[in-house]
Amino acid sequence: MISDTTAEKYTQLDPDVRLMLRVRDDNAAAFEKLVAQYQNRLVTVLHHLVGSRDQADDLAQEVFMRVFRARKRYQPGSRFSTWLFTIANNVASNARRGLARRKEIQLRPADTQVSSALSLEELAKEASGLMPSRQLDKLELSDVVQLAMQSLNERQRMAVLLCKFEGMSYVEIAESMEMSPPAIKSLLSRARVNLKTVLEPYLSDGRRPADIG
Amino acid sequence: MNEHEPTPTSDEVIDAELTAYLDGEVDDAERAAIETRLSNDAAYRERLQGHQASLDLLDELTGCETDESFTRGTVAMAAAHLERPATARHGIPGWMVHRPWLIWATAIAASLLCGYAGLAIPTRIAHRHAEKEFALIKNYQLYYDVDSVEFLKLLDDPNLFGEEPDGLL
Repeated sequence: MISDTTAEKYTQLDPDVRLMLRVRDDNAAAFEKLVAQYQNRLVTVLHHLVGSRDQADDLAQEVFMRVFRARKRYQPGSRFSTWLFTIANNVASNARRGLARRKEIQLRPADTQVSSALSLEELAKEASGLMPSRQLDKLELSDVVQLAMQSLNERQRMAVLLCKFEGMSYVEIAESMEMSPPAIKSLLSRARVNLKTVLEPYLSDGRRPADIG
Repeated sequence: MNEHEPTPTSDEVIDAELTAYLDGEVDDAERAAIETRLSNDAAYRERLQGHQASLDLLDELTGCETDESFTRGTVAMAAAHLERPATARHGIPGWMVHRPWLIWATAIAASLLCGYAGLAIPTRIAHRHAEKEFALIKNYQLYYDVDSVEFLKLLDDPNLFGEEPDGLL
């Protein structure tokens, strides 16, 4: 239950909360404005989270639909973006679980969505089926970083993305991911160490992706 | 932090400290302590540079662009959701969604009807029995003295005995 003081605080503080309150009152223009305002940000985070642009678009629409369906129950207990990314985190987790279940049924090996701690070479190989060195030759630095992101587990990835793209504080990330701030601190630290380990060749030798493999 | 998580090693504590420092998530006292150590400890400084470099590489992750069709499509989905009948949305009859008072009105009317039926029907049946038996009760003494109803009907005939011949008495 959200207190009146908290609701009032976030209503004053965040213009998007005020927009969402208009959506609650069935204002279609307000909903359109919220979608337009958040669609790029949401798709970006979901894209780097799930690794597929098409799936990210579908999931983002699902997130907005959940926002719309929940509008009558909406109470401002946080910034609007925190609430939105809490829903996004749940939607992405459900999608991942659904995918994992289907994969279990099909008895296929897990892909990069559910894997953790795969090396860059393994990830590149898995992604293309080519020899790692040849694949890495073709990769841009952004692809390498994207592959490095895929080496993180989903929670680490989400925390990194919310920190990087949304500029959220640890408290806000904790709220979005329904964890405690110290747990987020630990999660982000491990994520950064993992990224550093995977990206070490570039960091230590300044080697371009073409030199890897 | 989860109580089931293993106790962090000193390296993990240092990494968490430096990550929080880079993210601006330390208070003034912690920042001062970290900066003092950075100025005195080369290995610590190098570790921070490693974290900073991997953090900088995250700038390579590009943002996604969506166009107006995404907005229109999403808004259209919301509109379609509204237009769908409540039955489809919730799996319950539409009148229950829009006129919940009808549920109570129907329940009260049904209760009244049941109550009326429970009282009126047995009473009416009892009355019918009473009407049938009223004649019997009324002529009870007569029925008591005769052997059959046919004999009683015969007695009721005014011409049973004919006219008395004059002068007989």
